[in-house]
Amino acid sequence: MLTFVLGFLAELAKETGSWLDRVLPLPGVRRPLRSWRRRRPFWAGLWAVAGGLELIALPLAPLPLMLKVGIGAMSAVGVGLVLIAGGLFFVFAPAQRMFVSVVTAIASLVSLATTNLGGFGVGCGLGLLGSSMAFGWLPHPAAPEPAGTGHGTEGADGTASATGTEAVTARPKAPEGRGARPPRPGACALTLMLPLALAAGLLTPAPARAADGDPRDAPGRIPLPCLTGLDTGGATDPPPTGPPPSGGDRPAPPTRTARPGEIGAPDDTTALAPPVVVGEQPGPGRATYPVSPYYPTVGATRLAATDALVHGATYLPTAGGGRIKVLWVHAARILADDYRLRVTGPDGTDHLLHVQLDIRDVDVYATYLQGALEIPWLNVSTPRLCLGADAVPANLPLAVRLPSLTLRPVTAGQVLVDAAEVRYRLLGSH
Amino acid sequence: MAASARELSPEGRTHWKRTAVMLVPSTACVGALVLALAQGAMAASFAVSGKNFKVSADEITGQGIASFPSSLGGSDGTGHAVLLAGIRTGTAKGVCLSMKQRLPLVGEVSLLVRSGGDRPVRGENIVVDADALTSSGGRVTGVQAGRDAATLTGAPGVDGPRGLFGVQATSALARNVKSTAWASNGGSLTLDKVEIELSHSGKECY
Repeated sequence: MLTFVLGFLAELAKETGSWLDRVLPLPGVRRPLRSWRRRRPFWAGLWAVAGGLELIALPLAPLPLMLKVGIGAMSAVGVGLVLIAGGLFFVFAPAQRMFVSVVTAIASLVSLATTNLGGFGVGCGLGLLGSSMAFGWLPHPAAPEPAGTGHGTEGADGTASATGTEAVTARPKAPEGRGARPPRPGACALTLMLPLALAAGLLTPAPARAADGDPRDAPGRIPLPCLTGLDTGGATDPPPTGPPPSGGDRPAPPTRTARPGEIGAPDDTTALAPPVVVGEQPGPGRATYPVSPYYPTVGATRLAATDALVHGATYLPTAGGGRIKVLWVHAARILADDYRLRVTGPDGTDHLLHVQLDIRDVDVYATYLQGALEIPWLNVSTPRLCLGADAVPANLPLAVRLPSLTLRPVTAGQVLVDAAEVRYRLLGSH
Repeated sequence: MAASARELSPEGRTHWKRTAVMLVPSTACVGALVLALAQGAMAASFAVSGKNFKVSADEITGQGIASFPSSLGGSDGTGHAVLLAGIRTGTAKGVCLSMKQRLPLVGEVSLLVRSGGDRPVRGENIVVDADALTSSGGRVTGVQAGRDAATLTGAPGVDGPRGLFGVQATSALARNVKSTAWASNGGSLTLDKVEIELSHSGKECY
């Protein structure tokens, strides 16, 4: 039954084929092309190449990004190149199809685990189909000269020298003209690899530029909004929320150091023990890790802190060995309504974050705080007040404890938030 | 011409029985691999990039998170601002990933991948470049917002250029996450019941 159906289908295909042959134009061009195509596992090669291209296309991106994305993208390129090279071998060097088909089949199977489930099934499937078809492809048994043509089959293009007679050696000339093709898989792989290698070469000098200084690190001073300008101790503030460095050239952040003889040791990272605070110092103490000098500006329609401890001003280290003067407030809980954060990315574009926050056990470090203070129990707000870190002497042995502190609306230059727990609602960012 | 060509490399054809000799065992292998992946016995690696695709999840948890603003060099030379986020280990429930692609001849094709319906998808060393992110709510612990991006330690291998604003956290939980991502790499993902859907109708996760 099955043989009958298969035979019927084969007959049908043959009929359709001869009908198409009559109908389609350009028989002069198609016939040599067809005989070329029939002398090699053409469709097998086509499927394998298509599968390889699909595997590569999914993670295809500029090389620096692919390197950042990592091994997944690279393995996709590797497996895809194997499939493409295999497909080209099927077409241009069919003699090697047996070994190559096994390699491409294994590569297709491997792609299932390593690259996006084998290109979400498509690339893996095409690769397996191509490999199997190439494995299954056999030249017609040559009836007239079994030995000679058997060799010619395997040699396809290369073993022309094996045939000795003048008549046959004259023949290979034509395929050999075409025969410029066999090296093409290698050439193709080379042309594919070359941009990769070049781009990799381009990428390596990037860290070399790291030593370049930040042009904004000039001694010019950009005043913060509402800062007084009179510095009561320590370093001048680095430029505020300007566009931070781009990824390639990493500038040294401001490295100006404090003038000697100021109040408090700026590098003293132990928690202060101000006399006003009874009991243990709440919170983990002053942050010791480096912060970014390109901090975001934040705002909130209302900010309510409970059990706040205002430490005054202090210094935080930056990664370049510099430091930044900030106001330091600890709170057991901060509620921020419509909190907005704006931070500038390396290419100068702004990232915005919009969220409702409920933060527990938090240390806030800001260059300035601006807002109208809500006086408890009276339900009265003061006019907008502003406090800049530069006006407050750093590391004073004094802290002010406030059971509740409400500001509305508030803006701040938020250098660092170190919180034990943040609960949020309705986060949006773009 | 045809006769002469036959002398050198005769015409051949694909013998389907021979083809089956390779196709059947390898299909069986694929079946076994898919089964192993779907049961979570084996981890798969993912990398999609350079395309705007949508990711959504009902709930995401993560341990060891680091993030900083970054930019992707687009193929057209223009940078694209994204937020690069790395997660050391994480789980996700009800994950959906969709990608729309305009193909020549075929037209617009969208690809949808769903997983983690019953059991959460588990992942390690996941890196995502997202340009938009929304979440209905959640909880983050051990937050350090403002740490220099070069000194981030939350997720392995995720640190940025010096001087950039960075955020890291020890753990996070986010509900109803929707994100438009540009690149994503799951170092290894352990999946559960993957559904892959190719459609012409332009169906997307959200």
